[in-house]
Amino acid sequence: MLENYIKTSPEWLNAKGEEADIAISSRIRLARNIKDIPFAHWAPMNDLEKVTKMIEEAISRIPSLKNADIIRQNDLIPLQKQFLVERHLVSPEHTNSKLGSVIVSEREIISIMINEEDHLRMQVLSSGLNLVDSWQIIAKVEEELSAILPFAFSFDFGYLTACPTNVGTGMRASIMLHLPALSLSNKIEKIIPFLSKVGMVSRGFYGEKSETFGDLFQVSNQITLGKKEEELIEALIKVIRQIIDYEKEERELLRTRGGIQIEDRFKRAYGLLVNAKLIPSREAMELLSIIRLGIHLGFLPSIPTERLNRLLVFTQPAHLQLAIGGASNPALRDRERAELIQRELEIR
Amino acid sequence: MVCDICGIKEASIHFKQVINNQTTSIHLCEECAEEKGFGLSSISQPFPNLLEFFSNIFKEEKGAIAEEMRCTGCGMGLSEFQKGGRLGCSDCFEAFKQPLLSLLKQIHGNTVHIGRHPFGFEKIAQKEKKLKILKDELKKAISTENYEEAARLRDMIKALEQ
Repeated sequence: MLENYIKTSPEWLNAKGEEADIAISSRIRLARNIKDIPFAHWAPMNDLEKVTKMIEEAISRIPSLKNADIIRQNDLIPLQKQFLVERHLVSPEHTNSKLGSVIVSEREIISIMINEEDHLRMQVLSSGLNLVDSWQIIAKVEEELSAILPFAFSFDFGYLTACPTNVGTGMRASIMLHLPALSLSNKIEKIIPFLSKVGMVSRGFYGEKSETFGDLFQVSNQITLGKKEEELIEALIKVIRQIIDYEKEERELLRTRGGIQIEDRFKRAYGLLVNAKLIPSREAMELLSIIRLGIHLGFLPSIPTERLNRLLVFTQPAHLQLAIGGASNPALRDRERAELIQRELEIR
Repeated sequence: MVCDICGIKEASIHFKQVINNQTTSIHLCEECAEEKGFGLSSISQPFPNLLEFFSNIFKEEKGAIAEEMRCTGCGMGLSEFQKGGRLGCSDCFEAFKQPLLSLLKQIHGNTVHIGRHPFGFEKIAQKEKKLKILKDELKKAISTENYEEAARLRDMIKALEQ
């Protein structure tokens, strides 16, 4: 089944949404649990089986998930599990679930993790700054499932989740931002602490506890209790727009006042990506970030943003290995990565 | 399990005392626990130090040891929750309500949900509202020693809860 995934590009990488150059993707996820069954990390195997059966049965009755794939973690080898993480379809934690599976809709717009920390983690992923539409999609799926599945809910605390950080709405909305200019000027270091003061948080490329690289920042709401979903989304959009404006201002400064130093930086990065024979994963992310900015500011030949987005995901280790049919050593991967980048940049 | 003091409210704080090899279990609701000085509202950093707090209370009583707060639904102990950061089941929210309230306030600045609700929620909400009114009336009936009325209200509550 995963062979089809390696050949196709998910909807969220298509760079068609609003502000798609800076806001790479939008994501909203809702955490839900089935009433009267212990949370997935604490539940015995027979309860996990029961949860899986109940959710899969419910999903088969939802029109928007009619042709969805069901992928079971227990059927996968480690490389395939890593592929799903790189694809943002499952969390790293889900790959260790005793009985985890993931439901994936067409073009990977909706996905539902079963038996992660909570019984259900449903998410919608889309391109650009697109939280309002994303909310409508996921709210509809949740409503349809809510009519079939008894969700754990309390009057005081709202939707009950394993971790108190998710209780209430169970909603985490996030935007993946590419902020190379704010990173270059170090102004990002002032923005990140400010986020926590307004109930937001910045995380790495693969979400919670993951590292930040390639100047990619995932900004999301920290608070999930005591505010309505729409309010949380509205507040997040407001903050995101502000960050985007700062990034634009900083980019303009670089373009007009960066001088030969900044041009040199772009062209060196481009030169490396175009000529290198071996490109390690981390270096690829850093260089792709620089040339993305260089292209945007008109210092480098134009390349469609969609291709640059695709490279962020398809140059990851499991993507590269599955594309060539199986596990390979790091040196071979670095070579494959260089060739893929050069093909996409139309150098080869 | 109802509170040993008021006999009305659900007990959410449970502890055991062992004095001269004699074991006594006590089950209290939040209000009565607060009244008897076992409440948690006065702690400044409640969550990380809860266990310490509890053991300190019992240390003060000669020969007494504390039994850990434990969820009756899934068996998770408060220390397991503190260690892993995750609750075991929906009932844990009731079992660990006091420490959770402080924790939620710290995380979210809030303790009450106002967002979406499940399908059919309005019907359940009405029932809960009615239950709350009846329980308040029951409390009043007991305090005025109107036992006939109290018995009637108790039966009504029982019927509604089924």
